[in-house]
Amino acid sequence: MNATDSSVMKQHMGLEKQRRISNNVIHTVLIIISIVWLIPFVCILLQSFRVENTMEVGYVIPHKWGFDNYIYLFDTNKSQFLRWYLNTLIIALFVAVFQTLIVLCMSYTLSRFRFKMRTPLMKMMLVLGLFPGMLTMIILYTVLRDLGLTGEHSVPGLILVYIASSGMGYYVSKGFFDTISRSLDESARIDGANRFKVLYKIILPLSKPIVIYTVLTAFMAPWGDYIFASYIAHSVTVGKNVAVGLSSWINDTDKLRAAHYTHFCAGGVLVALPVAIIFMCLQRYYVEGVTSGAVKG
Amino acid sequence: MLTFYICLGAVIVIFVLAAFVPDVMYALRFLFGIPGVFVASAVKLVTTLFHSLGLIYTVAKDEYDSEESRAVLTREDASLYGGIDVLASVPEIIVPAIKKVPRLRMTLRYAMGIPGAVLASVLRFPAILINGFILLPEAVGRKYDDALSFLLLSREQQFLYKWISGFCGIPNAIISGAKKAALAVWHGLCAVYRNIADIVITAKKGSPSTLISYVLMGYGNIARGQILRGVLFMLFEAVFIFYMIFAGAHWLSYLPSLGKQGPVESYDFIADVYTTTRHDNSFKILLYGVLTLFFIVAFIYTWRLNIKQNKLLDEFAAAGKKAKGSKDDLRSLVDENFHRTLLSLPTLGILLFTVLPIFFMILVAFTNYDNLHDGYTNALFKWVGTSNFKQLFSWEAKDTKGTTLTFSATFGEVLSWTLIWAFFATFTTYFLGMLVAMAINKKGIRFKKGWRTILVLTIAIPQFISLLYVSRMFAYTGIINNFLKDLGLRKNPIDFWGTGTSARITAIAINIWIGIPYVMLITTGILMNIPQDLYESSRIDGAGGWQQYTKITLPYMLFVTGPYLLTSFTGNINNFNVIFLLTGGGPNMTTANASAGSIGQTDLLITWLYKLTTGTEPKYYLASVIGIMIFVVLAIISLAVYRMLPSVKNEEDFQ
Repeated sequence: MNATDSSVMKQHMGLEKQRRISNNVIHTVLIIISIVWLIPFVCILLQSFRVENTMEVGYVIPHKWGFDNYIYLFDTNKSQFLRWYLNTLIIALFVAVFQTLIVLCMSYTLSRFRFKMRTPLMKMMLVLGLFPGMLTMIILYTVLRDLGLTGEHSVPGLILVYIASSGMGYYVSKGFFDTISRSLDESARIDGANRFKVLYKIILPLSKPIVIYTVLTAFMAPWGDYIFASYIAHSVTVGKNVAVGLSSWINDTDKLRAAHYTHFCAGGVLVALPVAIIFMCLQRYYVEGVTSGAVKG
Repeated sequence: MLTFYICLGAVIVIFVLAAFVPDVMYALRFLFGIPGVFVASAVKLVTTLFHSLGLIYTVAKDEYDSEESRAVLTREDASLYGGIDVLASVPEIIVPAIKKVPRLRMTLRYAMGIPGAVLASVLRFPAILINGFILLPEAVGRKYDDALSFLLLSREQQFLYKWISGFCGIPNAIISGAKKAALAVWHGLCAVYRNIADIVITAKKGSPSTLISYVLMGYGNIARGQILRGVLFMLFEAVFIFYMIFAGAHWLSYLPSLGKQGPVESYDFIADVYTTTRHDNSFKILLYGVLTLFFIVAFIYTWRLNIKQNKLLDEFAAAGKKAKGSKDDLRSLVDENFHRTLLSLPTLGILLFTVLPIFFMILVAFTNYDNLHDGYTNALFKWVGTSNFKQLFSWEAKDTKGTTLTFSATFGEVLSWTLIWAFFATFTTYFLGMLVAMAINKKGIRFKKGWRTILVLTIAIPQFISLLYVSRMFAYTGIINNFLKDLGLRKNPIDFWGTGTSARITAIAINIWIGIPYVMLITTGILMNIPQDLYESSRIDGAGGWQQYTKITLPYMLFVTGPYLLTSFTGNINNFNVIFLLTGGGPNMTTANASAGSIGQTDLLITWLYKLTTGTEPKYYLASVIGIMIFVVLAIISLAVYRMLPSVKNEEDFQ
């Protein structure tokens, strides 16, 4: 072994060492980040099992463990949580189905057809999107109130509000349909299929990822919506969804918070668990969707 | 007010003149460019400072001391390097012994170099300014607008030129925008004229059944075998006439006044109570008035369609062709007219639940609709013209100490905080998220999927749970403060949400917690798409990690995720959830004008809007004004940024 070889070896080993050190640093940073990210969730989980009192306290680990908070939630005489949960679940299911249908119709049409009103329509939706959606709430609330769809009957009202304008969120799936080659459509058309058949028999089977993405986002949105739900429910307890209901426990006054702090935590766990599990299972499709959306804008 | 109109008139006159007189245009562009010079040089000064601080490192390592390696540097870098080098060499002059201890020497030279860097960049400032003024006439004359001559400029000059010509472009942009608007109006008028002419000509040439269709829509279609279309036309006309007679005319006639008779209070002698008799309802008048207007427009459109079709049928008859029957019409709905089938429901939803409400709310901005004038139970509301908008700039109120609080100042404060928030919320999460994604992507890092899954939890769990909980964690008596106390780090709790500044900083920090996972998810895939050979070849050329990041990764990412940055920025301007669930807008803004309602220091425009429409004293007209302002802000930002986006401008890079 001559001198140059050994110096190269030395340099190589130096690089190796450097990389190992930097990887260790990164691992440490990632562990710290993970802890920071998990702390709130762990705290919620721990406090949901605290039974010595329902107040907000300065410590995290319960002194006495138990399921009292969960039992409180399921006791329909004491809390309306089950009702809120059911409201949200019904809304989410309906919205998932109808919003997906509407979004797919809209995006498929805008991607595949070239008609006179196409560009004006897209421009119009772009401009409409710049107005804050909350602005429309004042009038929608009054109209829905006259129709009797607010307060205790807020569920159909909310479903209507969520799905009515969902055509505006066509960007991501239109981007997806744009990537499916149009020659597929054309060859099917030559073979005598009409437009409907092309959509039903050829495009839909190919668009599983985007359908799942749309269903997923549509299903998840109602669980977290606060603005519209609080507006439409209008402080009628039975008409709330989980977001409005649970936040009324923790956000209103110190008195309410003292009575319901751990109940909020337990409710949060019950809401978060199914949603998070579904999301984690379908994560792949979500990532595909947001990535393509971010790139195409 | 008069002075305002005079100024407006003067500006318009100048711009009209400028459009036609090249010399005025030239002068105008020159004038607009001068602030550009100052802005550009100020920006350049800061970047130079940062740049020279980076150069210190290379000076300390003697990296560019040979003639050849110095030739690689840009002219600007070389001069900065020289400036820093002089100061950095001081320790070697003083203590020759230092030379024997490389580490110490490097540290010393590094430390000594810092004043050199600052000095060198400050010395550059006048040079940049002078350079900018020299470039100004050239930017006005658009001398370097083609790519080739632009490349001949030094890097610094390119930067200055871009900024100055950007400012010079402002009068041009305004004028061309005005021209476009005028042209659009003219084209619209032409189209109206063409349509009227066509209607008249069709009537002159038309067959009897076409003429009957002018009054009885769809008659011509039925007479010539298109039963389905004809029946639909007739049905629509019947519904329209029926609606107009029994409801539409009433609402329409009340629309200009928004109701004539408000609620009347009367005394009932027998029961000894005051009773209120309610009459007109301004809200309903406005709503149904707008709906009727929409309906009339739809009717005119359908009527015109009916005439067009009859004209076509006339032409078919003259040519001896047969018109399509009802069966063909139905079949076409799943074939060549399939898009109509697919779009009908979604667009109807958007029309009724977005277009109509927004139109309505824009009109509300011109009324005095609030809790004292709710239109039905206590008083009618009425049109007030543009006074709400004028008052945005002239509302004044005095607080208890007698200080004048203008409404525009309150509005300005909320707007500027909204923009600051959007800026920090977007870019902190963007860069940190990218950093995390890069760290996880790095070769040799284990449990890649595990890290990602943990981070993604904040997306998977509904925000109202996590944000409300985190907001309580940071409360005065919350877990964080308690933890700090237990550790002995602080005696008194930190009031995170107590003052405006600390609440704002905490909100931005927590938003990082929320925002990093999104960015990480988006950037992970894109980062892996960057061609690896770019990194390989740059490493061979001697680029370090930082240089690779600034010269390869960052440009690529900015190019690809430009649209995301824009949508994320506009999304953050309207980020209701994070602010409302974390701070609820608080702490209260004590310097707010009284007409602003209960407004807090962390309130964004959007949460302010929400507060104005709820609570005990809603001010709907003000909410509409704010909503329109949000629209204006977003439109300006989107237009400006969209034009600057590299992926829109030069699509060929990186492809």
